[in-house]
Amino acid sequence: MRPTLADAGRRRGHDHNRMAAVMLCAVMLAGAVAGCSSSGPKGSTGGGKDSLAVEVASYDLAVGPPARFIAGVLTADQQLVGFGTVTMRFYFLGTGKASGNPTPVGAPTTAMFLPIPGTTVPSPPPTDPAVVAGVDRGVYAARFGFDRPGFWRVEVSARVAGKERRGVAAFPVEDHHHLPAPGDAALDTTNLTLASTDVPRAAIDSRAGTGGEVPDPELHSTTIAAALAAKRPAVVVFATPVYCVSRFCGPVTDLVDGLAKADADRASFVHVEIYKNFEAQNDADRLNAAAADWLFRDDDLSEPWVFVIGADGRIIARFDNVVTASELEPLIQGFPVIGPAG
Amino acid sequence: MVSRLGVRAAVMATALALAASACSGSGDGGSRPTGTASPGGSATTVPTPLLVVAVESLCLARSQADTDPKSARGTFYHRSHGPLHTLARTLESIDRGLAARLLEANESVEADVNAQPLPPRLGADLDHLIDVTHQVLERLSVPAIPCP
Repeated sequence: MRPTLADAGRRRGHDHNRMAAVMLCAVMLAGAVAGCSSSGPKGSTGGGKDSLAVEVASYDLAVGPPARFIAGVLTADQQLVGFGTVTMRFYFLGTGKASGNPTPVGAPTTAMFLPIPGTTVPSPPPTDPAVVAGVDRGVYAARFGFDRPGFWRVEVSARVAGKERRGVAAFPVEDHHHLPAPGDAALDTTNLTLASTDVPRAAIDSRAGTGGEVPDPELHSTTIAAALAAKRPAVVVFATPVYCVSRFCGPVTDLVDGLAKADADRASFVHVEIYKNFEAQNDADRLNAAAADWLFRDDDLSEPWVFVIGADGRIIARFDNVVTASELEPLIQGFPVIGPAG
Repeated sequence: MVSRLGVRAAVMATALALAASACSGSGDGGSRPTGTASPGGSATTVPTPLLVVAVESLCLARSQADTDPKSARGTFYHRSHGPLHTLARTLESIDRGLAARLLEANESVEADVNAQPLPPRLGADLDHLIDVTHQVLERLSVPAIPCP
């Protein structure tokens, strides 16, 4: 049965998640502090001001076949690193706690730069990572399959500004996904649309709260349930462009909106706003039910997400936090032309 | 991240930011506020040097907005936008209303600087964002960082 907001207070795994969070913070702090150490060998993770800060951007990581893993990379003084490629290597740290001897798993893998929509990519694109302006944002993506649950570490290495640099970040991997994943049946959710006249406009799209108008009406004209009933493919973005915590919600929503304008004859396109009322004190009053249906688990909700759903109602792909046109367009172009939604 | 994860994200971001600021050394710290703000005894902390840079850069962006809006865009994104999100995440746990005002003001400026051409309201929206940010600093008992 699908979890609901009413179930929030009695979720299994709550304590485990809290412990995971505490452990993760501890590991991250340890890793970051190690990065500040000047006593380590040169070029090691403990490279002081020449180290990298790594922020894992993936959500809902679980044991399974190789899938996209994304991380933001910054210099020690918080300058964003972008373009080119970096090398990622994964280590298993342990189940209950981070072990003292990280175990490498698999071979080092190359991670490509995924620029968020709006980033200007020079032509030809830079071959090496570089410190980039704040407007040129993105993450590095590799494919990796986690073979066991527990705490893991990613080590990122790259040559930036003429120096070999390394950084690490730790993160938890669950034994199964908590959110809908490829192969699962899409939830037949009835999200708010422009026809929902009994709610504030900002509950349909948070940008309507600041600008007065819903900026992308084509994303608010139908529901996921209607697309499923009509056996139409669907591209669904869950995001709150105004109240976003990840900084990527607006650009990702705008990307999907652009695709909606171009490919409305191949799929239905839906934007589900996360918040019914951002300022409400409890989750039930705060969250839109449609967002909660898909994303609220164990008192947590991560966003933005983009889900691609096939005509058979199964999830084909999902993208956490960052998605690019080069990832979405091939999937959408794979759908036959069926005309606009009725 | 609605509740716990919001706090988790803030703690993690703060941990990284704190570590990073420790790594970057004292720099030109001078008489600037240092250390962290811990609102209302909350376990979450806000790295004050990050706020100083964010606010000072907002002031710089405001001064650039009328004559060099392209630079204003870069200044905003490069130095202010991210830290303000971090600040809002931390603030969520103690004052969601003020966090909302901060994110709304931040988003208005973001919409401005992403528009082509840059709209004339950019300066006014930056003024508003600076005002809200100062309210946030006051709420967090962080010493005021006035624009020059």
